[in-house]
Amino acid sequence: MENNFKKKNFLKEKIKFLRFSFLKLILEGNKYHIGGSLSCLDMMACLLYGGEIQLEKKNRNLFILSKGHALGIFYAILIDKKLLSKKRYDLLSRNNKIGGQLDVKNIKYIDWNTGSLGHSIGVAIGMAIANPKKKIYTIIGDAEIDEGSVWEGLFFISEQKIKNIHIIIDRNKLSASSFIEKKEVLDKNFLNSLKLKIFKFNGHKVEKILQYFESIKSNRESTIAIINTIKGNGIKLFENNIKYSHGQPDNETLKKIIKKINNYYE
Amino acid sequence: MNKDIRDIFFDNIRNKFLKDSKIFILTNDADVYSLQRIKNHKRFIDTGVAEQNLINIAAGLSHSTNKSLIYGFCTFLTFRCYEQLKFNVGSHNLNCKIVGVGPGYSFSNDGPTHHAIQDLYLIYLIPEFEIYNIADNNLANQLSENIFNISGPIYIRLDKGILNYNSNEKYNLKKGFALKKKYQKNKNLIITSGYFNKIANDLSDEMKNFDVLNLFRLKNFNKSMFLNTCQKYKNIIIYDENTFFGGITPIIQSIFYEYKYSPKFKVICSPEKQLFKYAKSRNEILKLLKLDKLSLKKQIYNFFI
Repeated sequence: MENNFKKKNFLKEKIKFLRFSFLKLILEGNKYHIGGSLSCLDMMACLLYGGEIQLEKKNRNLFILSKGHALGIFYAILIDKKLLSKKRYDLLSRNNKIGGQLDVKNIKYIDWNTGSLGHSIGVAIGMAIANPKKKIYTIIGDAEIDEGSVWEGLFFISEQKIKNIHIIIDRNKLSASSFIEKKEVLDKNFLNSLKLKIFKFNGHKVEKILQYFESIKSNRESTIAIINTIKGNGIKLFENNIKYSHGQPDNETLKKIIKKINNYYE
Repeated sequence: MNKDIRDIFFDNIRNKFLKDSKIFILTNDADVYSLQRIKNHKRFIDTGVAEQNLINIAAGLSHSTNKSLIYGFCTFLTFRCYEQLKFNVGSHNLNCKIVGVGPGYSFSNDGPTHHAIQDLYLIYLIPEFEIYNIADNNLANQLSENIFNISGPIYIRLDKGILNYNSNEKYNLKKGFALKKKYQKNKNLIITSGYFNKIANDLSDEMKNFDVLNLFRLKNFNKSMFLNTCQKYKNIIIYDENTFFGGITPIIQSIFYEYKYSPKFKVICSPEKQLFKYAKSRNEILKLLKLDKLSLKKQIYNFFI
Protein backbone atom coordinates (compact mmCIF):
# COMPACT_ATOMS: atom_id res chain seq x y z
CA MET A 1 0.00 0.00 0.00
CA GLU A 2 2.72 2.39 1.02
CA ASN A 3 4.77 1.35 -2.01
CA ASN A 4 1.84 2.11 -4.28
CA PHE A 5 1.44 5.52 -2.71
CA LYS A 6 5.14 6.23 -3.22
CA LYS A 7 5.00 5.04 -6.82
CA LYS A 8 2.01 7.27 -7.60
CA ASN A 9 3.68 10.30 -6.11
CA PHE A 10 6.94 9.51 -7.86
CA LEU A 11 5.14 9.29 -11.21
CA LYS A 12 3.15 12.47 -10.62
CA GLU A 13 6.35 14.36 -9.86
CA LYS A 14 8.03 12.81 -12.85
CA ILE A 15 5.21 13.94 -15.13
CA LYS A 16 5.57 17.53 -13.94
CA PHE A 17 9.31 17.40 -14.40
CA LEU A 18 9.05 15.90 -17.91
CA ARG A 19 6.60 18.60 -18.98
CA PHE A 20 9.13 21.16 -17.82
CA SER A 21 12.06 19.41 -19.56
CA PHE A 22 10.08 19.00 -22.77
CA LEU A 23 9.23 22.70 -22.95
CA LYS A 24 12.84 23.57 -22.23
CA LEU A 25 13.93 21.48 -25.22
CA ILE A 26 11.54 23.53 -27.36
CA LEU A 27 12.85 26.77 -25.93
CA GLU A 28 16.34 25.66 -26.96
CA GLY A 29 15.12 25.63 -30.54
CA ASN A 30 14.04 22.01 -31.02
CA LYS A 31 10.77 21.64 -32.86
CA TYR A 32 8.15 19.27 -31.47
CA HIS A 33 4.37 19.06 -31.65
CA ILE A 34 3.29 20.46 -28.30
CA GLY A 35 -0.39 19.49 -28.16
CA GLY A 36 -0.16 15.80 -29.01
CA SER A 37 2.99 15.37 -26.95
CA LEU A 38 1.49 16.74 -23.77
CA SER A 39 -1.66 14.67 -24.18
CA CYS A 40 0.22 11.38 -23.97
CA LEU A 41 2.98 12.49 -21.61
CA ASP A 42 1.35 10.98 -18.50
CA MET A 43 0.88 7.62 -20.17
CA MET A 44 4.41 7.58 -21.56
CA ALA A 45 5.86 8.48 -18.18
CA CYS A 46 3.90 5.69 -16.50
CA LEU A 47 4.89 3.16 -19.18
CA LEU A 48 8.57 4.03 -19.10
CA TYR A 49 9.01 4.68 -15.36
CA GLY A 50 6.31 2.39 -13.99
CA GLY A 51 8.06 -0.86 -14.93
CA GLU A 52 6.12 -1.85 -18.04
CA ILE A 53 8.93 -0.94 -20.43
CA GLN A 54 12.32 -1.01 -18.84
CA LEU A 55 14.48 0.61 -21.47
CA GLU A 56 17.64 -0.13 -19.48
CA LYS A 57 17.11 -3.88 -19.74
CA LYS A 58 18.07 -6.02 -22.70
CA ASN A 59 15.27 -8.54 -22.79
CA ARG A 60 12.39 -6.14 -22.28
CA ASN A 61 8.90 -5.44 -23.56
CA LEU A 62 8.78 -3.43 -26.79
CA PHE A 63 7.30 0.00 -27.42
CA ILE A 64 6.22 1.72 -30.61
CA LEU A 65 5.32 5.37 -30.39
CA SER A 66 3.05 5.35 -33.40
CA LYS A 67 2.22 9.02 -33.03
CA GLY A 68 5.87 9.73 -33.68
CA HIS A 69 5.44 13.47 -33.46
CA ALA A 70 5.30 13.05 -29.67
CA LEU A 71 8.96 12.04 -29.70
CA GLY A 72 10.10 15.09 -27.74
CA ILE A 73 8.70 13.46 -24.60
CA PHE A 74 10.63 10.30 -25.40
CA TYR A 75 13.86 12.28 -25.67
CA ALA A 76 13.11 14.09 -22.40
CA ILE A 77 12.69 10.67 -20.76
CA LEU A 78 15.90 9.27 -22.25
CA ILE A 79 17.82 12.31 -21.01
CA ASP A 80 16.26 12.11 -17.56
CA LYS A 81 17.05 8.40 -17.34
CA LYS A 82 20.62 9.18 -18.42
CA LEU A 83 20.27 6.79 -21.34
CA LEU A 84 21.07 9.72 -23.60
CA SER A 85 23.29 12.50 -22.26
CA LYS A 86 22.09 16.03 -22.86
CA LYS A 87 25.45 16.71 -24.49
CA ARG A 88 24.93 13.91 -26.99
CA TYR A 89 21.33 14.98 -27.60
CA ASP A 90 22.54 18.50 -28.39
CA LEU A 91 25.29 17.16 -30.63
CA LEU A 92 22.90 14.89 -32.54
CA SER A 93 20.46 17.75 -32.87
CA ARG A 94 23.17 20.18 -34.06
CA ASN A 95 24.38 17.63 -36.61
CA ASN A 96 20.85 17.08 -37.93
CA LYS A 97 20.88 13.47 -36.75
CA ILE A 98 17.76 13.74 -34.64
CA GLY A 99 14.76 15.88 -35.34
CA GLY A 100 11.05 15.36 -35.76
CA GLN A 101 11.15 11.64 -36.39
CA LEU A 102 12.20 8.64 -34.33
CA ASP A 103 15.21 6.95 -35.86
CA VAL A 104 16.50 3.58 -34.73
CA LYS A 105 19.90 4.23 -36.28
CA ASN A 106 21.00 6.96 -33.90
CA ILE A 107 19.43 6.01 -30.58
CA LYS A 108 19.38 2.38 -29.56
CA TYR A 109 16.40 2.57 -27.19
CA ILE A 110 14.03 3.30 -30.03
CA ASP A 111 12.29 0.11 -31.12
CA TRP A 112 10.81 1.38 -34.38
CA ASN A 113 11.01 4.33 -36.78
CA THR A 114 7.69 6.11 -36.84
CA GLY A 115 6.26 9.14 -38.54
CA SER A 116 3.80 7.78 -41.09
CA LEU A 117 0.57 7.10 -39.28
CA GLY A 118 -1.28 3.82 -39.07
CA HIS A 119 1.68 1.46 -39.35
CA SER A 120 2.34 0.47 -35.78
CA ILE A 121 -0.38 -2.11 -35.13
CA GLY A 122 0.74 -4.31 -38.03
CA VAL A 123 4.38 -3.97 -37.01
CA ALA A 124 3.38 -4.80 -33.43
CA ILE A 125 1.67 -7.96 -34.69
CA GLY A 126 4.89 -9.08 -36.36
CA MET A 127 6.84 -8.32 -33.18
CA ALA A 128 4.23 -10.10 -31.07
CA ILE A 129 4.40 -13.27 -33.17
CA ALA A 130 8.19 -13.20 -33.13
CA ASN A 131 8.32 -12.49 -29.37
CA PRO A 132 5.39 -14.34 -27.76
CA LYS A 133 6.75 -13.86 -24.24
CA LYS A 134 7.04 -10.11 -24.51
CA LYS A 135 4.34 -7.46 -24.37
CA ILE A 136 4.23 -5.06 -27.28
CA TYR A 137 2.88 -1.60 -26.44
CA THR A 138 1.94 1.03 -28.94
CA ILE A 139 0.47 4.50 -28.45
CA ILE A 140 -1.55 5.71 -31.41
CA GLY A 141 -3.40 8.98 -31.93
CA ASP A 142 -7.17 9.16 -32.19
CA ALA A 143 -6.96 10.82 -35.61
CA GLU A 144 -4.68 7.99 -36.73
CA ILE A 145 -7.47 5.43 -36.53
CA ASP A 146 -8.83 6.78 -39.82
CA GLU A 147 -5.99 4.89 -41.52
CA GLY A 148 -7.27 1.63 -43.00
CA SER A 149 -4.15 -0.23 -41.93
CA VAL A 150 -5.18 0.30 -38.28
CA TRP A 151 -8.32 -1.72 -38.93
CA GLU A 152 -6.53 -4.33 -41.02
CA GLY A 153 -4.33 -4.83 -37.98
CA LEU A 154 -7.15 -4.88 -35.43
CA PHE A 155 -9.13 -7.47 -37.40
CA PHE A 156 -6.02 -9.63 -37.69
CA ILE A 157 -5.35 -9.49 -33.93
CA SER A 158 -8.96 -10.43 -33.27
CA GLU A 159 -9.16 -13.25 -35.81
CA GLN A 160 -5.77 -14.77 -35.08
CA LYS A 161 -6.11 -14.30 -31.31
CA ILE A 162 -2.80 -12.53 -30.94
CA LYS A 163 -2.33 -12.30 -27.18
CA ASN A 164 0.41 -9.86 -26.35
CA ILE A 165 -0.35 -6.48 -27.92
CA HIS A 166 -1.54 -3.50 -25.92
CA ILE A 167 -2.83 -0.63 -28.02
CA ILE A 168 -3.27 2.70 -26.30
CA ILE A 169 -5.36 5.27 -28.14
CA ASP A 170 -4.61 8.83 -27.11
CA ARG A 171 -8.13 10.24 -27.32
CA ASN A 172 -7.39 13.97 -27.23
CA LYS A 173 -10.23 14.75 -29.65
CA LEU A 174 -8.18 17.02 -31.87
CA SER A 175 -6.50 16.09 -35.09
CA ALA A 176 -3.83 18.29 -36.69
CA SER A 177 -6.47 20.60 -38.09
CA SER A 178 -9.93 19.73 -36.68
CA PHE A 179 -11.96 18.81 -33.64
CA ILE A 180 -12.80 15.10 -33.80
CA GLU A 181 -14.85 14.57 -30.68
CA LYS A 182 -17.28 12.40 -32.64
CA LYS A 183 -15.54 9.20 -33.63
CA GLU A 184 -18.12 6.47 -33.71
CA VAL A 185 -15.57 3.76 -34.32
CA LEU A 186 -14.30 4.37 -30.81
CA ASP A 187 -17.65 3.33 -29.42
CA LYS A 188 -17.06 0.63 -26.84
CA ASN A 189 -19.80 -1.62 -28.28
CA PHE A 190 -18.27 -1.46 -31.74
CA LEU A 191 -14.83 -2.23 -30.41
CA ASN A 192 -16.24 -5.03 -28.25
CA SER A 193 -17.29 -6.83 -31.42
CA LEU A 194 -13.58 -7.34 -32.09
CA LYS A 195 -13.49 -9.47 -28.94
CA LEU A 196 -10.54 -7.57 -27.58
CA LYS A 197 -10.46 -6.39 -23.99
CA ILE A 198 -11.33 -2.71 -23.96
CA PHE A 199 -10.37 -0.18 -21.30
CA LYS A 200 -11.51 3.41 -21.14
CA PHE A 201 -10.18 5.84 -18.55
CA ASN A 202 -8.77 9.27 -17.90
CA GLY A 203 -5.27 9.34 -19.33
CA HIS A 204 -4.15 12.06 -16.97
CA LYS A 205 -4.93 10.15 -13.78
CA VAL A 206 -1.90 8.18 -12.69
CA GLU A 207 -4.06 5.99 -10.43
CA LYS A 208 -6.18 4.91 -13.41
CA ILE A 209 -3.14 4.22 -15.56
CA LEU A 210 -1.61 2.06 -12.84
CA GLN A 211 -4.88 0.20 -12.38
CA TYR A 212 -4.84 -0.54 -16.11
CA PHE A 213 -1.29 -1.89 -15.90
CA GLU A 214 -2.30 -4.01 -12.94
CA SER A 215 -5.26 -5.54 -14.77
CA ILE A 216 -3.20 -6.49 -17.82
CA LYS A 217 -0.28 -7.77 -15.76
CA SER A 218 -1.17 -11.43 -15.86
CA ASN A 219 -3.81 -11.55 -18.57
CA ARG A 220 -3.03 -13.29 -21.83
CA GLU A 221 -5.04 -11.30 -24.31
CA SER A 222 -4.47 -8.22 -26.39
CA THR A 223 -6.13 -5.02 -25.24
CA ILE A 224 -7.19 -1.59 -26.41
CA ALA A 225 -7.05 1.26 -23.93
CA ILE A 226 -8.85 4.43 -24.94
CA ILE A 227 -7.38 7.11 -22.75
CA ASN A 228 -9.33 10.34 -22.56
CA THR A 229 -6.83 13.14 -22.67
CA ILE A 230 -6.52 16.84 -23.32
CA LYS A 231 -4.39 18.07 -26.14
CA GLY A 232 -1.72 20.35 -24.65
CA ASN A 233 -2.54 19.09 -21.16
CA GLY A 234 -1.03 20.90 -18.20
CA ILE A 235 -0.51 24.31 -19.76
CA LYS A 236 -3.65 26.46 -19.97
CA LEU A 237 -2.60 28.26 -23.16
CA PHE A 238 -2.01 25.02 -25.03
CA GLU A 239 -5.01 23.05 -23.79
CA ASN A 240 -7.50 22.21 -26.57
CA ASN A 241 -5.91 24.96 -28.59
CA ILE A 242 -5.67 23.93 -32.23
CA LYS A 243 -3.01 26.58 -32.80
CA TYR A 244 -0.60 24.51 -30.72
CA SER A 245 -1.44 21.18 -32.26
CA HIS A 246 1.80 21.48 -34.14
CA GLY A 247 2.47 25.21 -33.99
CA GLN A 248 5.21 26.62 -31.78
CA PRO A 249 4.68 29.47 -29.32
CA ASP A 250 7.00 32.47 -29.53
CA ASN A 251 10.00 32.46 -27.20
CA GLU A 252 8.66 35.14 -24.85
CA THR A 253 5.46 33.21 -24.22
CA LEU A 254 7.38 30.01 -23.73
CA LYS A 255 9.83 31.65 -21.34
CA LYS A 256 6.95 32.94 -19.21
CA ILE A 257 5.39 29.48 -19.04
CA ILE A 258 8.70 27.84 -18.17
CA LYS A 259 9.46 30.48 -15.53
CA LYS A 260 6.15 29.75 -13.88
CA ILE A 261 6.91 26.03 -13.77
CA ASN A 262 10.47 26.73 -12.72
CA ASN A 263 9.22 28.43 -9.56
CA TYR A 264 7.84 25.06 -8.56
CA TYR A 265 11.32 23.56 -8.60
CA GLU A 266 13.00 26.43 -6.77
CA MET B 1 13.84 -28.86 -64.94
CA ASN B 2 10.72 -29.11 -67.04
CA LYS B 3 8.69 -27.56 -64.30
CA ASP B 4 6.86 -24.27 -63.98
CA ILE B 5 9.31 -21.58 -62.87
CA ARG B 6 7.16 -20.89 -59.80
CA ASP B 7 7.38 -24.50 -58.68
CA ILE B 8 11.15 -24.45 -58.99
CA PHE B 9 11.41 -21.26 -56.99
CA PHE B 10 8.91 -22.10 -54.28
CA ASP B 11 9.98 -25.74 -53.88
CA ASN B 12 13.39 -24.43 -52.86
CA ILE B 13 11.80 -21.87 -50.57
CA ARG B 14 9.64 -24.54 -48.92
CA ASN B 15 12.69 -26.72 -48.28
CA LYS B 16 14.54 -23.81 -46.71
CA PHE B 17 11.49 -22.87 -44.64
CA LEU B 18 11.21 -26.37 -43.20
CA LYS B 19 14.88 -26.42 -42.21
CA ASP B 20 15.19 -22.90 -40.79
CA SER B 21 12.91 -21.85 -37.92
CA LYS B 22 13.81 -18.20 -38.46
CA ILE B 23 12.00 -18.07 -41.81
CA PHE B 24 8.40 -16.84 -41.98
CA ILE B 25 6.32 -16.96 -45.15
CA LEU B 26 3.46 -14.50 -45.61
CA THR B 27 0.88 -13.93 -48.31
CA ASN B 28 -2.17 -11.84 -49.15
CA ASP B 29 -4.39 -14.82 -49.99
CA ALA B 30 -2.31 -15.76 -53.03
CA ASP B 31 -2.10 -19.40 -53.95
CA VAL B 32 1.12 -21.13 -54.90
CA TYR B 33 1.06 -24.87 -55.51
CA SER B 34 4.42 -25.62 -53.89
CA LEU B 35 3.47 -23.93 -50.63
CA GLN B 36 0.02 -25.48 -50.20
CA ARG B 37 1.28 -28.22 -47.92
CA ILE B 38 2.81 -25.79 -45.43
CA LYS B 39 -0.19 -23.47 -45.26
CA ASN B 40 -1.10 -24.66 -41.77
CA HIS B 41 2.37 -24.22 -40.38
CA LYS B 42 2.57 -21.67 -37.57
CA ARG B 43 5.25 -19.73 -39.46
CA PHE B 44 3.03 -19.42 -42.51
CA ILE B 45 0.82 -16.32 -42.25
CA ASP B 46 -2.02 -15.47 -44.60
CA THR B 47 -3.23 -11.97 -43.76
CA GLY B 48 -6.01 -12.04 -46.34
CA VAL B 49 -6.26 -9.25 -48.88
CA ALA B 50 -4.80 -6.60 -46.59
CA GLU B 51 -1.46 -5.70 -48.12
CA GLN B 52 -0.57 -2.81 -45.81
CA ASN B 53 -1.01 -5.07 -42.81
CA LEU B 54 0.87 -7.84 -44.62
CA ILE B 55 3.96 -5.72 -45.10
CA ASN B 56 3.74 -4.24 -41.59
CA ILE B 57 3.57 -7.69 -40.03
CA ALA B 58 6.49 -8.94 -42.12
CA ALA B 59 8.47 -5.88 -41.02
CA GLY B 60 7.67 -6.48 -37.35
CA LEU B 61 8.63 -10.15 -37.70
CA SER B 62 11.98 -9.24 -39.20
CA HIS B 63 12.70 -6.81 -36.37
CA SER B 64 14.72 -9.46 -34.55
CA THR B 65 16.82 -12.00 -36.41
CA ASN B 66 13.96 -13.43 -38.41
CA LYS B 67 13.70 -13.54 -42.19
CA SER B 68 10.42 -13.11 -43.95
CA LEU B 69 9.35 -13.94 -47.47
CA ILE B 70 6.15 -12.46 -48.82
CA TYR B 71 4.47 -13.54 -52.01
CA GLY B 72 1.51 -12.26 -53.99
CA PHE B 73 0.73 -10.42 -57.23
CA CYS B 74 3.34 -7.89 -58.36
CA THR B 75 0.86 -5.05 -58.64
CA PHE B 76 -0.74 -5.55 -55.23
CA LEU B 77 2.51 -6.12 -53.35
CA THR B 78 3.89 -2.83 -54.60
CA PHE B 79 1.25 -0.19 -55.35
CA ARG B 80 -1.10 -1.05 -52.47
CA CYS B 81 1.48 -0.93 -49.73
CA TYR B 82 4.17 1.35 -51.07
CA GLU B 83 4.63 3.47 -47.97
CA GLN B 84 4.90 0.37 -45.77
CA LEU B 85 7.60 -1.00 -48.09
CA LYS B 86 9.44 2.29 -48.17
CA PHE B 87 9.28 3.12 -44.50
CA ASN B 88 8.92 -0.07 -42.48
CA VAL B 89 10.92 -2.44 -44.65
CA GLY B 90 13.25 -0.02 -46.45
CA SER B 91 14.18 2.42 -43.71
CA HIS B 92 14.96 -0.44 -41.31
CA ASN B 93 16.84 -2.30 -44.07
CA LEU B 94 15.10 -5.51 -43.08
CA ASN B 95 15.68 -9.01 -44.31
CA CYS B 96 12.34 -9.13 -46.14
CA LYS B 97 12.05 -10.78 -49.52
CA ILE B 98 9.03 -9.76 -51.57
CA VAL B 99 8.18 -12.19 -54.36
CA GLY B 100 5.82 -10.74 -56.95
CA VAL B 101 4.16 -13.19 -59.30
CA GLY B 102 2.47 -12.09 -62.51
CA PRO B 103 4.99 -9.61 -63.93
CA GLY B 104 4.26 -7.84 -67.21
CA TYR B 105 1.20 -9.06 -69.06
CA SER B 106 1.43 -12.62 -67.75
CA PHE B 107 -2.13 -12.30 -66.45
CA SER B 108 -3.34 -11.08 -69.81
CA ASN B 109 -7.05 -11.43 -69.26
CA ASP B 110 -7.29 -9.51 -65.99
CA GLY B 111 -6.85 -5.95 -67.11
CA PRO B 112 -4.63 -3.14 -65.86
CA THR B 113 -5.10 -4.05 -62.19
CA HIS B 114 -2.99 -7.13 -62.93
CA HIS B 115 -0.64 -5.71 -65.57
CA ALA B 116 2.65 -5.26 -63.79
CA ILE B 117 4.41 -2.83 -66.11
CA GLN B 118 5.52 -0.09 -63.70
CA ASP B 119 6.10 -1.92 -60.42
CA LEU B 120 9.77 -2.52 -61.19
CA TYR B 121 10.75 1.13 -61.21
CA LEU B 122 8.39 1.92 -58.36
CA ILE B 123 10.45 -0.36 -56.14
CA TYR B 124 13.66 0.91 -57.72
CA LEU B 125 12.85 4.28 -56.16
CA ILE B 126 13.17 2.83 -52.65
CA PRO B 127 16.90 3.16 -52.02
CA GLU B 128 17.38 0.10 -49.81
CA PHE B 129 15.63 -2.36 -52.13
CA GLU B 130 17.42 -4.71 -54.52
CA ILE B 131 15.42 -6.07 -57.46
CA TYR B 132 15.70 -9.33 -59.37
CA ASN B 133 13.60 -9.88 -62.48
CA ILE B 134 13.41 -13.60 -63.23
CA ALA B 135 11.94 -15.46 -66.20
CA ASP B 136 14.32 -18.37 -66.50
CA ASN B 137 14.04 -21.69 -64.64
CA ASN B 138 17.77 -21.96 -64.16
CA LEU B 139 18.04 -18.45 -62.72
CA ALA B 140 14.99 -19.01 -60.51
CA ASN B 141 16.68 -22.09 -59.12
CA GLN B 142 19.93 -20.27 -58.40
CA LEU B 143 18.27 -17.26 -56.84
CA SER B 144 15.90 -19.21 -54.60
CA GLU B 145 18.82 -21.35 -53.39
CA ASN B 146 20.68 -18.21 -52.34
CA ILE B 147 17.89 -15.79 -51.51
CA PHE B 148 18.52 -15.60 -47.76
CA ASN B 149 22.27 -15.19 -48.26
CA ILE B 150 21.61 -11.81 -49.83
CA SER B 151 20.99 -9.37 -46.99
CA GLY B 152 18.44 -6.58 -46.90
CA PRO B 153 15.13 -6.09 -48.68
CA ILE B 154 14.72 -7.63 -52.13
CA TYR B 155 11.89 -7.48 -54.64
CA ILE B 156 11.78 -10.51 -56.92
CA ARG B 157 9.58 -10.53 -59.98
CA LEU B 158 8.89 -14.13 -60.81
CA ASP B 159 7.35 -15.09 -64.14
CA LYS B 160 5.25 -18.14 -64.88
CA GLY B 161 5.34 -21.16 -67.17
CA ILE B 162 8.10 -23.54 -68.17
CA LEU B 163 10.97 -21.22 -69.03
CA ASN B 164 13.68 -23.71 -69.55
CA TYR B 165 15.70 -22.07 -72.31
CA ASN B 166 18.96 -21.27 -70.57
CA SER B 167 19.70 -24.36 -68.57
CA ASN B 168 23.46 -24.29 -69.18
CA GLU B 169 24.01 -20.67 -68.22
CA LYS B 170 26.02 -20.17 -65.04
CA TYR B 171 24.55 -16.98 -63.68
CA ASN B 172 26.55 -14.65 -61.51
CA LEU B 173 23.98 -13.20 -59.11
CA LYS B 174 26.36 -10.48 -57.95
CA LYS B 175 27.28 -9.32 -61.44
CA GLY B 176 23.60 -9.15 -62.25
CA PHE B 177 23.53 -9.66 -65.99
CA ALA B 178 24.37 -12.29 -68.57
CA LEU B 179 25.32 -11.88 -72.20
CA LYS B 180 24.32 -14.39 -74.83
CA LYS B 181 26.61 -14.08 -77.82
CA LYS B 182 25.34 -15.41 -81.11
CA TYR B 183 28.09 -14.44 -83.40
CA GLN B 184 31.56 -13.23 -82.48
CA LYS B 185 31.50 -10.13 -84.66
CA ASN B 186 28.04 -8.91 -83.79
CA LYS B 187 27.80 -5.14 -83.35
CA ASN B 188 24.14 -5.21 -82.42
CA LEU B 189 22.83 -5.73 -78.91
CA ILE B 190 19.41 -6.11 -77.34
CA ILE B 191 19.28 -5.35 -73.62
CA THR B 192 16.30 -6.90 -71.96
CA SER B 193 14.99 -8.34 -68.72
CA GLY B 194 12.47 -10.92 -67.54
CA TYR B 195 10.16 -12.60 -70.02
CA PHE B 196 11.32 -10.48 -72.94
CA ASN B 197 14.74 -12.03 -72.57
CA LYS B 198 13.19 -15.29 -73.73
CA ILE B 199 11.58 -13.65 -76.77
CA ALA B 200 14.80 -11.85 -77.70
CA ASN B 201 16.76 -15.07 -77.26
CA ASP B 202 14.39 -17.01 -79.50
CA LEU B 203 14.64 -14.34 -82.18
CA SER B 204 18.40 -14.09 -82.01
CA ASP B 205 18.59 -17.86 -82.50
CA GLU B 206 16.77 -17.27 -85.80
CA MET B 207 18.45 -14.07 -86.96
CA LYS B 208 21.89 -14.40 -85.39
CA ASN B 209 22.72 -10.76 -86.14
CA PHE B 210 22.42 -9.51 -82.58
CA ASP B 211 23.44 -10.57 -79.09
CA VAL B 212 21.18 -10.49 -76.05
CA LEU B 213 21.98 -9.12 -72.62
CA ASN B 214 19.74 -10.25 -69.78
CA LEU B 215 19.78 -7.64 -67.02
CA PHE B 216 18.23 -9.59 -64.17
CA ARG B 217 19.58 -7.63 -61.20
CA LEU B 218 18.38 -4.07 -61.38
CA LYS B 219 20.01 -2.10 -58.58
CA ASN B 220 23.50 -3.11 -57.51
CA PHE B 221 24.64 -4.94 -60.63
CA ASN B 222 28.21 -4.51 -61.82
CA LYS B 223 27.78 -1.24 -63.69
CA SER B 224 31.30 -0.86 -65.02
CA MET B 225 31.26 -4.39 -66.47
CA PHE B 226 27.84 -3.67 -67.89
CA LEU B 227 29.11 -0.50 -69.54
CA ASN B 228 32.23 -2.23 -70.88
CA THR B 229 30.01 -4.88 -72.39
CA CYS B 230 27.69 -2.33 -74.00
CA GLN B 231 30.60 -0.34 -75.39
CA LYS B 232 31.55 -3.27 -77.62
CA TYR B 233 28.39 -2.68 -79.64
CA LYS B 234 27.43 -0.01 -82.15
CA ASN B 235 23.67 -0.38 -82.05
CA ILE B 236 21.66 -1.00 -78.92
CA ILE B 237 17.98 -1.70 -78.41
CA ILE B 238 16.28 -1.80 -75.03
CA TYR B 239 13.44 -4.27 -75.30
CA ASP B 240 11.22 -4.18 -72.22
CA GLU B 241 7.74 -5.41 -71.34
CA ASN B 242 7.45 -2.56 -68.84
CA THR B 243 6.72 1.03 -69.75
CA PHE B 244 9.52 3.48 -70.57
CA PHE B 245 9.45 5.09 -67.12
CA GLY B 246 8.29 1.99 -65.25
CA GLY B 247 10.97 -0.44 -66.31
CA ILE B 248 14.64 -0.87 -67.14
CA THR B 249 15.02 2.06 -69.56
CA PRO B 250 15.72 4.86 -67.03
CA ILE B 251 18.16 2.56 -65.21
CA ILE B 252 20.19 1.92 -68.35
CA GLN B 253 19.90 5.45 -69.68
CA SER B 254 21.20 6.89 -66.43
CA ILE B 255 24.33 4.75 -66.72
CA PHE B 256 24.91 5.78 -70.34
CA TYR B 257 24.36 9.40 -69.34
CA GLU B 258 26.71 9.21 -66.37
CA TYR B 259 29.52 7.73 -68.48
CA LYS B 260 28.76 9.93 -71.49
CA TYR B 261 28.21 6.91 -73.67
CA SER B 262 25.86 7.52 -76.59
CA PRO B 263 25.44 4.59 -78.94
CA LYS B 264 22.81 4.40 -81.66
CA PHE B 265 19.93 3.62 -79.42
CA LYS B 266 16.27 2.60 -79.57
CA VAL B 267 13.69 1.66 -76.94
CA ILE B 268 10.90 -0.83 -77.60
CA CYS B 269 8.61 -1.02 -74.59
CA SER B 270 5.00 -0.85 -73.38
CA PRO B 271 3.04 2.35 -73.89
CA GLU B 272 2.50 4.63 -70.90
CA LYS B 273 -1.14 3.79 -70.44
CA GLN B 274 -3.47 1.60 -68.45
CA LEU B 275 -4.49 -1.03 -70.94
CA PHE B 276 -8.16 -1.99 -70.81
CA LYS B 277 -7.65 -4.83 -73.27
CA TYR B 278 -8.19 -8.48 -72.50
CA ALA B 279 -6.73 -11.56 -74.12
CA LYS B 280 -6.51 -15.26 -73.47
CA SER B 281 -2.77 -15.25 -73.88
CA ARG B 282 0.10 -12.92 -73.12
CA ASN B 283 1.21 -13.14 -76.73
CA GLU B 284 -2.12 -11.73 -77.95
CA ILE B 285 -1.62 -8.65 -75.81
CA LEU B 286 1.96 -8.34 -76.98
CA LYS B 287 0.77 -8.54 -80.59
CA LEU B 288 -1.75 -5.78 -79.94
CA LEU B 289 1.03 -3.62 -78.58
CA LYS B 290 3.46 -4.63 -81.34
CA LEU B 291 5.81 -6.07 -78.78
CA ASP B 292 5.70 -9.75 -79.80
CA LYS B 293 8.52 -11.61 -81.52
CA LEU B 294 7.33 -10.88 -85.05
CA SER B 295 6.87 -7.17 -84.33
CA LEU B 296 10.30 -7.07 -82.73
CA LYS B 297 11.77 -8.68 -85.85
CA LYS B 298 10.21 -5.99 -88.05
CA GLN B 299 11.31 -3.16 -85.81
CA ILE B 300 14.90 -4.22 -85.43
CA TYR B 301 15.39 -5.11 -89.09
CA ASN B 302 15.92 -1.55 -90.25
CA PHE B 303 17.59 -0.38 -87.07
CA PHE B 304 20.30 -3.01 -87.11
CA ILE B 305 20.95 -2.64 -90.84
